[in-house]
Amino acid sequence: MEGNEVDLLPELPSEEDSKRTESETPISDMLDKLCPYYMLMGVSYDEFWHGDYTHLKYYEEKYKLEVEKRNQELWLQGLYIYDAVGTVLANAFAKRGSTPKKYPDKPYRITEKSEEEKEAEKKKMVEDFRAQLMAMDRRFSQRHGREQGR
Amino acid sequence: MQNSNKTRIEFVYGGKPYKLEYTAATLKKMERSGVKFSKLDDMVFSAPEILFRGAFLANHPNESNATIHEIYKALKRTADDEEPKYDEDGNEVDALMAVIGSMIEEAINEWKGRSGNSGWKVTR
Repeated sequence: MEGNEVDLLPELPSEEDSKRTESETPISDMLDKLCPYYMLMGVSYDEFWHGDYTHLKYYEEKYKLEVEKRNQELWLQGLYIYDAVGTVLANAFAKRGSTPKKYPDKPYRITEKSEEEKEAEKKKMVEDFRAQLMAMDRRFSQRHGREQGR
Repeated sequence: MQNSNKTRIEFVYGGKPYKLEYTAATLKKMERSGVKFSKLDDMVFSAPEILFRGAFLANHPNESNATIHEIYKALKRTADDEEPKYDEDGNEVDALMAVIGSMIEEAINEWKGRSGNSGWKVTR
């Protein structure tokens, strides 16, 4: 998605106003236009007109984060749909006898792994490797034993 | 505890606590009463009490004009007792009105910044 910028923030009433000269633009008009814009961001009517205007920046930040979060969710949803459609198509057109493609058996991880999880994963890798080595050793001994028995 | 960078004037007059500030609603009300914010510089000199009265609208909307006038005189005296300040041109600065002007300017510029409206400018 990099390079595709879509502005989901509501359009500010600046362009129209900036065309007007300084003296022609009453503050009241600007505030009247800004009010619904901030209400969309979660600012109450009372907070907008009677509250502390220095708090509005936090609402703006919150709104931007919400838009970002929603964008991430939609992107992830697209990824799952891609997987689902891809799985169906791959299986529908797969050669007879080939291993069927499976839809991911668990959701994609979107949070960072904890130290315990990383440790457990490492431990499992070591155990799996050890099990593989033992199996290899067993197979070798069996084959070797058979050859010696001949 | 107030978590804000907003400029306010707080004082006690006649045993009553006052908090003067400007909000979106008060700016609108002041403009409707004829205040021209684009000419704030001139108004600080020509109509200081009107601007000062506007600062009462948010928290003391029912305060009488007579009391506001008394407070204006009293605060002006207090402000004038301090060391005189001079502007770039060497004129003595009215300390109280300098604060009132900067409070209005702060509010307008804050809103102006929010709208991204480059057509608005307050200069002092």
